[in-house]
Amino acid sequence: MDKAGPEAASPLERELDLLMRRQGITVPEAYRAGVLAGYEDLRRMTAVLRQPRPAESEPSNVFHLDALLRGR
Amino acid sequence: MKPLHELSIAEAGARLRSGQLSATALTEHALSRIASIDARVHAFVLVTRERALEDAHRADQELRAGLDRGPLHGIPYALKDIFDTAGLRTTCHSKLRIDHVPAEDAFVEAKLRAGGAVLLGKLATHEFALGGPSFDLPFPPARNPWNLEHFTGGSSSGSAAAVAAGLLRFAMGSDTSGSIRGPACFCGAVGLKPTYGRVSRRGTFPLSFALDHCGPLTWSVEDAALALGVIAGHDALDPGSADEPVPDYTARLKEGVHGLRVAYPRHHFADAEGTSPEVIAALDAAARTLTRLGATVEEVRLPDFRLFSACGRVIMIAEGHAIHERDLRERPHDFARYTYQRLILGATLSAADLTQAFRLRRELTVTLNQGVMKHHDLLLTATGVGPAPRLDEFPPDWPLKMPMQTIPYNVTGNPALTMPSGFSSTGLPLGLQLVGRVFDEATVLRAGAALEAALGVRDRRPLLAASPSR
Repeated sequence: MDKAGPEAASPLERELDLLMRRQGITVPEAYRAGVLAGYEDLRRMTAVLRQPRPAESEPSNVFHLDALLRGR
Repeated sequence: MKPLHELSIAEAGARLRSGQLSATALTEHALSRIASIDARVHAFVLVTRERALEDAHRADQELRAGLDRGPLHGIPYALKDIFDTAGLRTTCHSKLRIDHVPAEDAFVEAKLRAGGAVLLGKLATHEFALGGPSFDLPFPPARNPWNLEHFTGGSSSGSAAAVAAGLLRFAMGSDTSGSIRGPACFCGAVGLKPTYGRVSRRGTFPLSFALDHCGPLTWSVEDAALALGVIAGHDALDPGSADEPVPDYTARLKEGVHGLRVAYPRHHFADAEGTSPEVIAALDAAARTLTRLGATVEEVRLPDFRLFSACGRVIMIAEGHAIHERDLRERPHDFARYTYQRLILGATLSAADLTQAFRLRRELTVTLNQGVMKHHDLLLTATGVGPAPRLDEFPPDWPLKMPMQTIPYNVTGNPALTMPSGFSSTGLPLGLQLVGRVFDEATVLRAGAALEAALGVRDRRPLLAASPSR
């Protein structure tokens, strides 16, 4: 994704490139700008998720055996 | 005398049972309107003419023989093209599924067939219920019947357009962050996202297992109540399906709102960026109408909208990415631009991101249902924060930012109904949203029916739909 060269890419672009490279993904050049814009948005959202909460605060998708095993 | 396509489901049903009207005539009328109008609206990706006439003929024979399958017997409908139809192409509006022909019906489709409804065809959607509006897909996007240069909303775009254009009274849609309610709002239709688990998702191509809901888009609230009664019910093979009894959603539909307590989180939409003053005015008018009708309306505060939005979007992108992971890597160019740009972002999320989103989901769900909804029967809020934008306003690199207030109720799973609240100064529909307690669709529908009658916006139809059929 960093066709512009590392010195021209913004920190956000470099971050996105690293994450995609780590996953082995090559984003088509034509889609790159849109993916970057979406990534900027997503990063803001993941920060919002980090509200103060106690360690024992459970996620909503706790494993329910009855739902898993019914109907089988 | 009302044209056939303006008959409600109940009115058509009464005439079918009295012999004044046949399902075949009703279906031929619908097919004729589709032939004369849909070339401009692009609501359908597949019209199943032969199947429709077979279904209608069978319905006529059965009703004549005294076999009554329920309120949708002989009534034409169509399905968003993510609902599997045995033997009929189900494409998800994607090149990646263009030749996919399922062997089995989706659970909802099986219920509709068992209920004797008449399948007119498959409807346009955003690619995989996410990527749109797009012109780089196998089929063109649906257009808003109120102004063909404007967006329908999505992703149940064809469903909303078909209802608004008077091609049918009832269509199936799905809703992950607003995909029933958004298009219904923009197209001046009624859209119901039931409680999570109320309607089986089995056989419906998933976008997000945790957030997907299936539900009806209709012209009236009563039509939605009748449709929900047929499609709701427990499915043991859908892990998210709720084992809750299905009431008669029409039994108390006309009882009005006297005595109901309505929460009004005005700050949620009034303080949001870009909310149109016309939307706020229409909602304030609806709140005053509810008060006049005997409800108690109280302003309340909800958790910040950005919390609901972040929670829902992260879950949706993570799960959507997982579903499409292989094709995103191996066939990126076979996705439309918007679909790819949105789904690929799931690769940037960490396990901790998703876990935090699910923790926040529990917190928000408990806060809403043990807080505001414990002391109120309903919540009144916005659906869209403005009318439908123009199709040519969408830039190529547009991240998923929908001007909607719908995602909170996907996050919490509460039932939510959108219905018309009025019109913008440019003649485009505006909508409002009524949210209920979990599994209390009956109260939501009852309030919706009362507001619909009081607001009096159902008599106005798109000029397009008034064109004579050939």
